[in-house]
Amino acid sequence: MNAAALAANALPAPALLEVEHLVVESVAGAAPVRLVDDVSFRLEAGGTLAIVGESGCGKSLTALSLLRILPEPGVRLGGGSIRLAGEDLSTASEERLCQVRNGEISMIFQDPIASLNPVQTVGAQIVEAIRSHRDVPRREARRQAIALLRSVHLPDPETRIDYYPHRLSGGMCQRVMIAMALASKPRVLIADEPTTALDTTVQAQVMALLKQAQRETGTAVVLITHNLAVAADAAEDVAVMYAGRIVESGPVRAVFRAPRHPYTKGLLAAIPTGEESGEGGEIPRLVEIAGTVPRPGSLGPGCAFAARCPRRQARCSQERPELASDGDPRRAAACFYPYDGAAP
Amino acid sequence: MRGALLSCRDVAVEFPVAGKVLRAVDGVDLDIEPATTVAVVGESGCGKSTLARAIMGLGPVSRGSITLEGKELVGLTPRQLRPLRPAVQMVFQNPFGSLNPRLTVGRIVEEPLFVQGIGDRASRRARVRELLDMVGLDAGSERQFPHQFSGGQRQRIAIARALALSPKLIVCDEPVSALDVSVQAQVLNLLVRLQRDLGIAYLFISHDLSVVRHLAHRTVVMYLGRVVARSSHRSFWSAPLHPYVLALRDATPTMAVLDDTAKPKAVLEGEVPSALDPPPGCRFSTRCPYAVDLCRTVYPELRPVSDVESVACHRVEIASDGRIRTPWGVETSVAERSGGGRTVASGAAPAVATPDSAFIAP
Repeated sequence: MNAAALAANALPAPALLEVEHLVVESVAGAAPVRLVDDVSFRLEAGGTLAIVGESGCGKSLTALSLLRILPEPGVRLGGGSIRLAGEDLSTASEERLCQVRNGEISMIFQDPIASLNPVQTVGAQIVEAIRSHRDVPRREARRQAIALLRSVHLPDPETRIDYYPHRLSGGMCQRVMIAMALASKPRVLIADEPTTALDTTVQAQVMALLKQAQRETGTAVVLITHNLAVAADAAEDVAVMYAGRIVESGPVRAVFRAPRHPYTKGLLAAIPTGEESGEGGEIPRLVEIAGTVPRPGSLGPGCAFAARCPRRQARCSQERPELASDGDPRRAAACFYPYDGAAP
Repeated sequence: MRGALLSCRDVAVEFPVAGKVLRAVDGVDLDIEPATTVAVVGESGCGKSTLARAIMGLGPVSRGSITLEGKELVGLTPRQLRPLRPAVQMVFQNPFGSLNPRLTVGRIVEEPLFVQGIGDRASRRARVRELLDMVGLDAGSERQFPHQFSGGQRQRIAIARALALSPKLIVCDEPVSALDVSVQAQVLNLLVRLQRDLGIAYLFISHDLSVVRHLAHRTVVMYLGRVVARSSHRSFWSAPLHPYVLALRDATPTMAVLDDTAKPKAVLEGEVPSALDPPPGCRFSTRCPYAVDLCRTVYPELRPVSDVESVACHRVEIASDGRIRTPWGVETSVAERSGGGRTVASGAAPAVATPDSAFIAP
């Protein structure tokens, strides 16, 4: 490590995106129900954080709250702060939020076909994205749009720019979405299950494209995914969510190689590997996590995972474990009886 | 050769689209033996779901023959098909859309018995309770409605319904794709246990390689309506003999990336061409890094590599001494690729996978 790197390490770099004690709550019923509960994380410039978890764990709501595009009035930001380069977006004006959405934070969604406007050509939509944050003539914006489509490897961009979305495949629409999201040179790109709706070979193309775009632009990425292998491949850091809370976080390799929280360990064990384990013989039994995810609002005072946890003790259903680090300062787990970090 | 439970020979499904013919399934041969899982893998548009619908008698068959225990299914009227239906049941991808929200779970599971006129009310109720127990749902669930259950529990209800008529074959169309990982493992374990206990065969349609590698006895890979590879050999994915199998494997994210020695994988370019306008020759040739002129003009027929494996690729060379060479670095031999399949574990039938060469039409 050279001197410059040492100096940089000594002072913690100001985080590009810093989320603290984020709460998102549903106000549809009589009492507000917390859907995202006390979520905190940091993202450095150029870094990639994967937020993983199963459906209903609050990962997508966390992503939407960063852009302040929660499905209000049913669901609202209930507390906490979202600081982009020091500026708190949780209290920013709607006008300022518009600027942020148009430039500094972009988002791509799971269903690329539904996310594009079906009655406008692809080109018109990208030109609009470009002109909304930079004052350039229409002709110049169109030239930039073609260049963007070329940079996301859309074949024959000069022709396809005048297509309506229905003439493009799902993979091509996702390329267009990425081109639009990058048009403003955002500092943070939020990718919510960006490849889940795509075919296997196209998924690999889109993930490779996201990595390339990140390398070229230095954009930081928040990757929301249910697929642990996608997170392992694309991210440096991971936050595992369960029932609205982060239950484990840290560098993705360290966490997945030696998970501390029983939920993380269970998730990893439940993935079928098919690595010839059943060779010539019976099909091996997969490790199951017993039971199902609890419904929001049905949580007691203890750990939300306690009812399904193989390591639970009496304390677990009475008291909620906070996310705390033990040993390695980069890692944290919300568990009274974590695994010691030895290989799973 | 033991008799197949279900056999498809040269099955084609065609749809007229804008003055052209879309060949969704184009000359597929397939055999499923009792108590065996045959997985059909491919990307969207490869024809895997259309094939499943044809087997269920839910779609038109333009050509070829589908036989169930020797009885021809193609060309039967719905009335003629009805007495055969109990033997083949289906589980769908979306457990939210495949259960009637206005019926109780008990009524949903009872429905197939009711339609087939089996038993009286009391005996059907008893059977429903037995079925719910089999799939791990408690007795109280029969009075509840589908919305009161999670995705995994709903898929258990769908499986109980499929089991009601004691089928010999269940066609599973992406049965765990909509489920979370932790719940997916529960449903896969259930399917494996039911196969072991009841001797049910599965036609398992999936795009998820890790799931297929886990439970298939034989794997069939389709691309643009045709079978490009078929194998029950354990090295099918680890040492692929077809470039599309290689590409699918490399495109699938796995935890192997955590291994420090993992090499970056080549990403296949392009997308699946339109089935309305398939390329001449090998349909994969437009994306195949190993394609030569022959591939772009002549379709490679599916040919046996060994007694358990067939591939449709010109670039796989089988020398007279049995050595097998490929331009993508897989080198093996006919002897190495023989046998080695997963045996069917069950009291139902001590079956070794059917010799592949035996079901290639001459």
